[in-house]
Amino acid sequence: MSDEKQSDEQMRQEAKVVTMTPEPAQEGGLPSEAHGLIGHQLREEYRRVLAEPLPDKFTKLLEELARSEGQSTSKPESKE
Amino acid sequence: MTAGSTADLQSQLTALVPNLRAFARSLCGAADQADDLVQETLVKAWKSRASFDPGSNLKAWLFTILRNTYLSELRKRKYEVQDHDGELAQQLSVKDSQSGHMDLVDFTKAFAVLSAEQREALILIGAEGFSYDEAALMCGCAVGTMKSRVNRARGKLAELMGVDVAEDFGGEQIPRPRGIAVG
Repeated sequence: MSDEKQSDEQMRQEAKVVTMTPEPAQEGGLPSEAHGLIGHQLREEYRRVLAEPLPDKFTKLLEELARSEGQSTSKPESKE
Repeated sequence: MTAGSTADLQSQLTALVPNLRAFARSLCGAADQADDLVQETLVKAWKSRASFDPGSNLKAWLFTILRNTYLSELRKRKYEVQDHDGELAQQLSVKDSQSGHMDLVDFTKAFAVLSAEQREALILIGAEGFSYDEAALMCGCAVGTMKSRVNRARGKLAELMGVDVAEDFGGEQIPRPRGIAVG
């Protein structure tokens, strides 16, 4: 049971962005229909934001960070 | 750190930006504020990349940085969102007690009424598919606390949205959990 759950977990981890399978409704105090509807809308809303085009500023920022890494030879701090 | 691993990290971070944005959006509501939060998270993650264990979950690590950043911001200056949430929740509960039933709201509105802790718990478990153990670790709380946040959040949503089966949930008021920055 727990093994099965764990491998399911791993599969979901890997396929998370592509397919988000509904959670089995076993943990909550609400009947499964509520989990179904609420869970569905939650994932829909989340997916909608996930699918938004990525503004350039993020890739630019990461490029900049990577570039500054290449230039400075200082060791990364272990604690920020 | 070699040039190869730098490029590697760069592409891994880039791939996770949409998730960070979605998570940030669910925490602070406003899109521009959320994007600022993501940028801050990326910079912090980059600076402290030496402390990341390559064998562990990068997304969980990034999400933890993001929510900690958000919470410390929240403590520093009170977000107007917080007040707005409180107001909306109050309006809704006033309606509830006056008429015996409340006007139903759609998911987005109902979600905004939840506390930051509840929104976070729902997203991590319900949308991102983290396990309760992982989510509890990320939020620095007990697994049981995480479960109860998710349950309360679901119950509150069902109540606000008028999901039929919520009738079965009982007439008792679900106590509104204390907000993170309140009190």
